Amino acid sequence: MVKTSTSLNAVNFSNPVPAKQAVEPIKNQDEMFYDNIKPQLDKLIKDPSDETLEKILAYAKKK
Amino acid sequence: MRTPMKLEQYSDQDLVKSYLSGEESVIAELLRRHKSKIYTSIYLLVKDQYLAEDIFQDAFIKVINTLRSGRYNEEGKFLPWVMRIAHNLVIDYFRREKRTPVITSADGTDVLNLIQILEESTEERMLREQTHVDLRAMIQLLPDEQKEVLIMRHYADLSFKEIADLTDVSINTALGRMRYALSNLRKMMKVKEVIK
Repeated sequence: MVKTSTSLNAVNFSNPVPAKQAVEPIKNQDEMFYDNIKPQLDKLIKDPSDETLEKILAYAKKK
Repeated sequence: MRTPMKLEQYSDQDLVKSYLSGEESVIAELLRRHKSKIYTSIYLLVKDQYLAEDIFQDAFIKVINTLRSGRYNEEGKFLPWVMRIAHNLVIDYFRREKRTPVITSADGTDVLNLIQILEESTEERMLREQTHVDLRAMIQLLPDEQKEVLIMRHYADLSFKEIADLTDVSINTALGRMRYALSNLRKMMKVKEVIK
């Protein structure tokens, strides 16, 4: 009698690609690059002037 | 006795509800939370501080008017909603201005901007050599749709789903644009290193 068995190779799994990798939005190389430039990108963050904020707050309080 | 909650502990939705029930001061907290994200996004899109201030102010006035009129849909999140308003105001501005069309090369970079950089003076070059100036210039060189996704993802902190909804494209298109934006920025940085 011939004995049969199923190997445990990744090919036999219904979903061989790890879930995280499957939904990864950006390719790895780009993602690493993005992580590297994040601090530089953050240096470009700016705030509106106090004058503009005061005008908005004054408008919000108007009846 | 329960300690009263600080404003920072409330969700955006709670603050909106407080505003609608007459607590006008909560707008200050909403501004504090989101002003940098919204203003930076507008500023990087229009490239002009004064114009960005105007659009930022107009966006919040629309926000306040919409809240007062009771037309705000509570199912949506506050930040993506304000970003949509700001984004529409930016589009309106460019439509009104009917700016010079952007000529893009095969890899999507703006040819006119590239020429401007090549023709810059020594003084301008020295200024551009500051890292943040360089990066800002590179972001400006990206095609509009790639720049838009990068700004909304990084500065406005929107999800790709929210960006897709806001720009009327599929999530895959938004993801693809982000990928191209990063790829183009990487190429530009390589070129900059070579010519240094």
